[in-house]
Amino acid sequence: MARRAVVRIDISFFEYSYDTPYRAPAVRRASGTGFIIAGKRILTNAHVVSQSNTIRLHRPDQRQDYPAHIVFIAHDCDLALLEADDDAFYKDTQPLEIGVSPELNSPVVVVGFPIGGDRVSITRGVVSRKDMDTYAHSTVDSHATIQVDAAINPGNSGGPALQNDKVIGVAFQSLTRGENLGYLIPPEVIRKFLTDVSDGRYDGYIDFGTMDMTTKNPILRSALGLDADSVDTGVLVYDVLQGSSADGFIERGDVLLQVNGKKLSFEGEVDWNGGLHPYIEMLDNLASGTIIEVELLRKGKKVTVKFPARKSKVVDALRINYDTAPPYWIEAGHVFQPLDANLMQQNSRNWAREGRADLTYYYNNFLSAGIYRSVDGFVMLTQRLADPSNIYNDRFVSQVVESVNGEKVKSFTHFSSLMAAAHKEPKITIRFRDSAVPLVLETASLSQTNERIRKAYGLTSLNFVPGEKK
Amino acid sequence: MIRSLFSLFLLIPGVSLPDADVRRGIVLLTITPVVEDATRPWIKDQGTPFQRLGLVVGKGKILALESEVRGAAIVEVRKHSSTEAVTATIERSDRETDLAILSVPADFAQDLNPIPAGPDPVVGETLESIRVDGGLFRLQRNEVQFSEIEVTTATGFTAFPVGNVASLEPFPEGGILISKGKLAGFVHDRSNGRRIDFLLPGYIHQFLAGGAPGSAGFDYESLVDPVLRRNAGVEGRSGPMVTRIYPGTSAYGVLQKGDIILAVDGVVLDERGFFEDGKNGRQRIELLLYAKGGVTRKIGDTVPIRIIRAARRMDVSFKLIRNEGNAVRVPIREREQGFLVEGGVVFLNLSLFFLQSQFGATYATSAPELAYLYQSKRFRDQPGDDRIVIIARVLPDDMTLGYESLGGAQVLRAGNETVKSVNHLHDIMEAAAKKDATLTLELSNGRMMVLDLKNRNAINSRIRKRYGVPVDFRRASNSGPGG
Repeated sequence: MARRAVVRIDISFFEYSYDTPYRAPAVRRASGTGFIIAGKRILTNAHVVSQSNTIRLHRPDQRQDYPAHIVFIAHDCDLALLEADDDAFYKDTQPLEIGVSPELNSPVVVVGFPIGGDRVSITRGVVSRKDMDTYAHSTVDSHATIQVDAAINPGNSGGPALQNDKVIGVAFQSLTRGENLGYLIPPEVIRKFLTDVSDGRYDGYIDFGTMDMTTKNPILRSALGLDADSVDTGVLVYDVLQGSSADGFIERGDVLLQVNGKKLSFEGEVDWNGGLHPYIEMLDNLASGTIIEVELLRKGKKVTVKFPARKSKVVDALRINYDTAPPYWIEAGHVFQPLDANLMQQNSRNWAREGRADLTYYYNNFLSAGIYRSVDGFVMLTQRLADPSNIYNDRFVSQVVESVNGEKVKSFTHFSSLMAAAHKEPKITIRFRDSAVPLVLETASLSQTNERIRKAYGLTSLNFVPGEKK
Repeated sequence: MIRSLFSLFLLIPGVSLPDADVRRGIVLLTITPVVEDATRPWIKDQGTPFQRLGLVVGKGKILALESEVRGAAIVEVRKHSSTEAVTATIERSDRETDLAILSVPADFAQDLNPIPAGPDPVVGETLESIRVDGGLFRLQRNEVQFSEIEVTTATGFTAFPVGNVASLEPFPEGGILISKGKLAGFVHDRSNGRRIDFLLPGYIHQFLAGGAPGSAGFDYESLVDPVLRRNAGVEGRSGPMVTRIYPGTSAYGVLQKGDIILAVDGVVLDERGFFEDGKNGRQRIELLLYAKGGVTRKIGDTVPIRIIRAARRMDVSFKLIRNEGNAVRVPIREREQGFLVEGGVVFLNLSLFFLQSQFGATYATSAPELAYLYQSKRFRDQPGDDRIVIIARVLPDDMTLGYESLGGAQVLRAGNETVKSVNHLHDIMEAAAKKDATLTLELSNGRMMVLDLKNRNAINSRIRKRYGVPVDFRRASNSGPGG
């Protein structure tokens, strides 16, 4: 019976190339799985419908397929809610209910349409492990996952894992290095998503925001004033993320002792949900605005602080962007792009081969080394569209922009506004982080040059700046 | 008739150097290196011995490559006329020029004689390459073409000229080049397959006469783009633009960033920094600083330079001095690897040797934080002696519990002081131990570490015993020129 609620999702989607951000994207087709839940909605993975152009739903027991649209999409937890455009799609269906987190070693059934196919496929397995893990879709977010030994293949994505006809997970990724290691998004993450969107808006995950280390070391413990009655307790905060929940309430050097009444081990674990879990996992599913209570040791004194859970914007710079086309700015044939997760993903291997430790460093240590405190993101000159005006300028390719006409570049949006303003000056001087020689563009001939390049390369636009009104 | 006359010509003595003269001018060195553990520098193993050709440069004096004899356990010397082997001692060495003079006992050197040195060969000239196989001193002589002169910084900071020949034969044990019966080169780098780098006679002579001037100490970039020239206030032709000046070099305090170099010693440069050399065609500015008109420059020589600074033409000059190495913050390798083992934590000054030994050739991806430090902080802009101090290893012990993941972190501060080097960290530790019970280290990315000073002696002695560390501290030598 439950199988009737499981549908195939056929999409066409835009595939952007960050090598040629100025080109229209290729259109490709793909399929995944989804399932009908209460309220005439279809739950699936965000990655199944990301960058979709058209979405069609196919029920194995219906002759016709139906167009659908995205109602909510959450890239940070890889979930999306769809709605069929036509009510006829829902005829004779019974929505699936979301269950509770399954026991270890309990049997699960994964239902879906692996590798396409018209008929539903069912694989069985058991719950092998429950752990916090990275969600590959966004590359930076970690939430609870359920590992199963049932086979999960492309096309299974978005399909339900069932126990007694109730959903105990959404199939979403597998481990290519292992065999039969499938991963499910657990009920608590699904439920959080559904609750979050119930007010008509997706707010996303909160960031607690502390970076901490163990206080296992005996000398460190006594230096911090951790006395005998706090044996096995406490993690040392060495940095607090700007704009996060803890920002302004917890300081570097504080030792966290208890969070929401749960005592922390010196590795930062709490006794919660029937076992030891990192305290971050316990806080992961809090809704924005929920009050967090922390007992900490500050300069040898116990202090209790309370603050609302909130999301920090600084993490967004590290997430893969699925919401817009690739941003770029072309000036005299020089292509500038933000050094974002998408560009890193596409080029990191090449840059590694070229020994570009700087780029890996900027990206990997953006949060941990506090780079975000001085810039929101980096801008890179990624290529040169050859033109008589720029034949000497290959030396600037792959360089990271430092300033435009003396003003330090803080983000791609900032860069684009500086460039637009610089057109009114006699020349534009662009300095790079690792080049003593600047790139100088004389503005008198610039619009002519840009127009020549636009025609020569058949460009529809010389720039795309997301969020900017044209 | 004509043919036989021609072959007779080739055999005229003095044009080709007789085998016997070559054999008296070279020796075979068997070098047994010492291999150091990058994260535990107190551990030294014997490396695999290898053979190299040594060049006789005087009575009992042998020229070798510094990078090959550095820190060797033993250098054995053999000659053509006997099976006897003697050990050589390093008399003088310079890591920047990559040359070393070895000395051997006088009675052993009696029948050795330097091959007369010729002038620097000219690009395009046909040279004779001579290699020697193992112990029998059989010579292998081939014709090779001198293809170009390059400037290399392969061994350190100093950019020095090397000649380049293409050869079908490999030079696994080194070799020499001969032109018109005289020494024309000493093989330097054989790592590029068929491309063999060799040191020029003038360069060797400079070293023998008391040391090469080394790098003039500035970087430049081409100003081929007319927009950049206009931007720099120059109409028409110009030279290259100075982009960096290294402290402790000839150019420091004389040239400035942004200067445009028009001429060196009266020789005009183009926008890329090339000049027209009478014999060798277009060559780079570095070669003009090495020699002018076939005469190599010496330390103390004054080099006049014509520049454009702030759109004004002016004449300046600098005196060639020896590099004292204070431009280099992160060396390729320390001359004597210093270390500090405190409370089970091994502290080192960062070096390229550490990065490569610990993380392999792909260190830029496996250790981006340290690789970035190396790439961006390698040279100083001001004179100084600061280094990058890192935690090379955390030895398992009760005292290092919880610190296991801190390996590879940079040590920024100790107590209230900015840590400038391993030597400095040791001094801070000694001073603190006299008054404080603990010392807090601030590491990169905000992390921290507290060390016990009260029980310091007992902890360090336990660590020494358990891990076979001979001493807690070995002072890092000043890396010297280029480090």
